[in-house]
Amino acid sequence: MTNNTDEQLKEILQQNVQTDTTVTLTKPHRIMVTVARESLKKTMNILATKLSAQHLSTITARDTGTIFEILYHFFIQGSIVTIRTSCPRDDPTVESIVDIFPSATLHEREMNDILGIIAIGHPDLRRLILPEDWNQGYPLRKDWKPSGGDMVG
Amino acid sequence: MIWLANVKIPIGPQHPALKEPENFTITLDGEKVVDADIRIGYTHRGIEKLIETRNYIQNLYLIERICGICSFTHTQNYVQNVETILNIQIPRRAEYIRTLFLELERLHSHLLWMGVAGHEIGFDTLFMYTWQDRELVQDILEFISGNRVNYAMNTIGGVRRDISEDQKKKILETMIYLEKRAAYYKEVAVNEKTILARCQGVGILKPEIALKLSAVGPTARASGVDVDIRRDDPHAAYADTPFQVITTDTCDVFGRFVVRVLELFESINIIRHLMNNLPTGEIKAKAPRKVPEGEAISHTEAPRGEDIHYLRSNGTDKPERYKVRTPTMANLLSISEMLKGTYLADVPIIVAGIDPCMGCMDRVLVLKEGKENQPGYLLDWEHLRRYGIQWYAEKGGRIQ
Amino acid sequence: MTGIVTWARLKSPWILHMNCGSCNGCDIEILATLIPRLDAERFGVLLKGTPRHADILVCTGPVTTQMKERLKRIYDQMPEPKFVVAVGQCGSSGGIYQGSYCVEGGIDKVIPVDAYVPGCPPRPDAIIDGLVKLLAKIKEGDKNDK
Ligand code: SF4
Repeated sequence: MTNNTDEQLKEILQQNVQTDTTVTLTKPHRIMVTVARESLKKTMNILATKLSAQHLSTITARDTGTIFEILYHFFIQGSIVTIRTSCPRDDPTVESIVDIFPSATLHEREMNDILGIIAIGHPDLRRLILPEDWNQGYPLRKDWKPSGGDMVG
Repeated sequence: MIWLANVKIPIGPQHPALKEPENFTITLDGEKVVDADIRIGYTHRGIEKLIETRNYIQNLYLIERICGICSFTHTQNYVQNVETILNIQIPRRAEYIRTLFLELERLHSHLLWMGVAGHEIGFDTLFMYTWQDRELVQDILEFISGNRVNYAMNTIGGVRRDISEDQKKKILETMIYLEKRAAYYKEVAVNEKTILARCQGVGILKPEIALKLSAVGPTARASGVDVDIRRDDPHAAYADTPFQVITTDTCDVFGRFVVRVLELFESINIIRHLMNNLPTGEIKAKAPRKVPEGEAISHTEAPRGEDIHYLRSNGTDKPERYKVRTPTMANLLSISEMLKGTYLADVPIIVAGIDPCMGCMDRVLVLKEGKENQPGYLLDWEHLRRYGIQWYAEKGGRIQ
Repeated sequence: MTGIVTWARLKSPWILHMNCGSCNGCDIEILATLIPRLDAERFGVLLKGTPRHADILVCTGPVTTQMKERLKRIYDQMPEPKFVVAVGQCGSSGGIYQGSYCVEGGIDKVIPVDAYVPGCPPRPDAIIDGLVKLLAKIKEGDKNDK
C-alpha cells in the first residue's frame, strides 16, 4: 500500500473528480469532498479504483431543515475521507453504493429507518433498528415529534 | 433434509441509539449453517435523538452510557469532536491520563472477552480466572475515578481527576502481576486442548472479505488486516507511545483469541510507558459552554475496533446532529460471513468471537421447515451453548 | 410442603438475568457477582438460562419498545411465586434515557417489581445486598402468611 500524505490524497482526488466537486482539507487527516447527488456513484468508483478504498466506516445522514445531507466516511491511508452529498426533502433518494462497497448495506438500511432516505438499488431495505411495527415516522427528522407530546430534555 | 432455523440471539448493547440485542435468522441444512441474517435494534434507545435535546455537558454523561464496557472510548470521541470545533488545546498530562484510561479499558475488556469465550466453549475455569484478574483492573479504575464502569473521567478540555504518586505506584504494581497472568493466558491459549479443539479453523474470515466488509479491531487483525487507529491516525498520546500492532493470519476464532492475549502485553507496556513518562502540569483547559457552528469527525481504537463519531454543532449549547457507529456494528456483516458453512454447534463461539458484549441471553428459536412457522423447538442461548459443548463431547470426546 | 418449597427457594434462589436495553454496565456487574471474589453462589444463587427454571428475574435497562413484549412474555413464563429485581438507575426509573421515544422508562412500567437496586451501575456488592434483602423480605412475607 502506498502511503500518501493528506496533501497527496487531496491532489489525487482533485485531479480525478468532476467539476461540480470541491475538495478541502479541514484539519490534518480529515478530507471533505462535496459532490452533487448525480456524480456520487462516479466519485465512489474513483475512490475504489484510484485510491483502492475499501474501508467504509459509516454513513451519516442528517436533516438540515431544508435538505438532507448524506456523508460517507471512508478511512483511507490514515485519513478520514468524507464524501458529502445532499438530496431535497421532497425527493429523499440517493443511489445505493452497495455494489461498490458491500459494507454500506447496514448503514443504508439504518438511514432509511431513521430519516427515510431511500438508497435506490439497495437489494433489501428492511427495517433495521426501529420496532417492526413502527409507524410514527422518521425520528431523526427535525420536524418529527413523538406521538406522546414533547421529549423531555 | 432441510431445516429452516430462526435463531434469536440478542447481544448486549454496544451501539447507542441503535443495535443490539440482535436477532440472527439462521438457515440450516442438516447441522450446517447455509445462511445467516441479522436483525438488530432491540436496545435502540434513541440516544442520537436524545443527544440533540441535551446540552454539551449533559451529553458527556449520556454518551458515556452508550456502552458499559467501552464507556471511555465513547466520551473520548465526543470530547475530541467538541475540542476540535472549539479549537482548544488540551494539556499533555490530560492526554496521558486519557490514554491510560483507554488502555485500562482495553485490558479489562479483553480479559472479560476471554472469560466469556471460555464460558461459551464450556471452559468455565477460564471465566473465573480472567474475571478475577479483571477485578484488579477494575480496582485501579475505581481507585482513580471512583467508579468501576462509568468513570466520568473525561470532560471537555481535559480530565476531571488527577493521578497521585500513590495511584501511580499501585498501577505499576498491578501491571507486574497482570503481566504474569497474561503470560499464563498465553500459555493456556496455545496449549489448552479445549481451546484448540473449539477455536481452530472455526469461523473463518478471509482477509479479502474482512477488508471488503470493513471489519475492524481484533476481528480484522486476526484475519491479517493490519489496521489499528492508534497507529494509523494517532489520537490522545498514542503518537509518542511505542507499541506494536498485533496481527495473525489464522483467520479463525483461535486467531482472535491470540490477538487479544498478545494485546494484553501491549496494553501493559503502554501503561508502563505512560506512567513512567507522565508529564506534569494542568489537567484541564477552560472550555466555553457554547460551541460555535462547525462539524468534526473523530475515531478511536476501542477494544473492539474502530469507533467513529460525527458531531455537527449549530452555535447553541446543544448539538445539531450526533452520529455514533460502534465497532460491533461494523463487524456484524462479518459475522454472517463467518457463520456460513459452519456447524450449529459453533454458532455461540463465532458470535462471541467478535466480542459483541455478550452480557445477556435470550431465546434462540429454531423453526422446522414445512410446519408453517410452527416452532420446531425452542432453544435459548444457554441451550445452544450446551448443545455445542455436548456435540463436541460426543464427536471427539475431547472436551469435559 | 410449602415450608419446604420456601426453604428451598430461600436457600437456593435461581435467577434469570435479562437485558431490556441496558448499556451493559449493569449486566457486567451482575456477572461480576459470580466471580470468586464475591461468589454469589455461596448464597445458593444460580444463574439460569430459561425463565421456566427461575424464581427471581433480575432486569436491567430502561425497557426499549422492542423489548417490552419480550419482557412481559418472559415474566409470564416464570412459575409462581416469582420476584423481580430491577438493577440500576435505568431499571428503576429509566435513568439517563428518560424521555426518549423508544424507551418505556423503568421495569415497573411493564411488570411489578419487588426490589430496586439503585446505582449507575450498582457495585456487585450492592446487587448481592439487594438480592439478600429480597430474600429476607420473602421470608418475612412467608411468616406473615402462616
Ligand atoms: S443504570 Fe447505568 S450502568 Fe446500568 S444500564 Fe443504566 S446506564 Fe447502564
